[in-house]
Amino acid sequence: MSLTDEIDRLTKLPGRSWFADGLGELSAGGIFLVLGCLFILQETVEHPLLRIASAALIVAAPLLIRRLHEKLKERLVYPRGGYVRQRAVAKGRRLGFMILCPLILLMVIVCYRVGSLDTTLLAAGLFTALLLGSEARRSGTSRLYLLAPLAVLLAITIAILQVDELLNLGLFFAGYGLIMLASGAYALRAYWRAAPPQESAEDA
Amino acid sequence: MGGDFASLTDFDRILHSPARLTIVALLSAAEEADFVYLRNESGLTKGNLSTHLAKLEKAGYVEIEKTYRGKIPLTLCRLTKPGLQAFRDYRQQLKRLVDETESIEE
Repeated sequence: MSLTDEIDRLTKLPGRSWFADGLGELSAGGIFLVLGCLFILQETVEHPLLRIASAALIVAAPLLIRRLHEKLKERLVYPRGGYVRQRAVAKGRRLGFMILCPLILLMVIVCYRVGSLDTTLLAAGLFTALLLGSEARRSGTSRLYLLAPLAVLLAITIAILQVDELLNLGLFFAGYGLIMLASGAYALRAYWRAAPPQESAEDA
Repeated sequence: MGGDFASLTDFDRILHSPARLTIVALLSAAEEADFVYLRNESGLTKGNLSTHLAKLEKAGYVEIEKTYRGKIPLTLCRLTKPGLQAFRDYRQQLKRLVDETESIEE
């Protein structure tokens, strides 16, 4: 490996470390599972609080996932592999997200209003896939390249089954949540095997 | 040509060391990192890493903060702006040298 290749490799390591241990998938998977259960519950129990809870969780999900991810890292990873905080996302990428996220949310709302919930389901699958694909590209985590298309596949499969309205969304979020939990657990197990606990955390 | 080549090889002596270059390359992609992370990723021993961090700190390329996470002592390292610029300059210089060398070979 040339010196320039080695430098490139080293500069990518902090970004990869964010996803290397699988805690990102565990965090997101947990939130997805809860959201899925809320949607499924709404099928059997008609209560406005459930709708409010689902909507609130969708809005708060990015923040919740990030906070959960950080807390899990503090407990499970930093004592073993050390602590690193990636550089803030580049301005262009942030701007891209600021434009893209409301557009997709608007698309989902329009689909819900105008079309059937199946379209909303497909939009949810596509949005999840785009997000994961973007993170895969940024971090170089190959596992995410596999997870991204699975979101679309699952959404299409459930849409074809035509189970029921809210149940479709519930099955997607709960199902994909389980997939992410499995992926995250597998990655965390591999990480723990490769990174035993440190005898002493510190330093000279 | 001789003058051009000399400027190409006139690398920053602080960064022109495998260990320090590794440390700076890791920190260039991070807001901050602790000593344990740098030790794990660089493969350096505790003593070695401390020595190189001290040199980088003295050169003004790295700032070191000793703090605590709860009761656990923590040494946080960050690349300074001059440090980040020096690293970017180093990479560009290296790339120019590689390009020049490849054009000579052709």
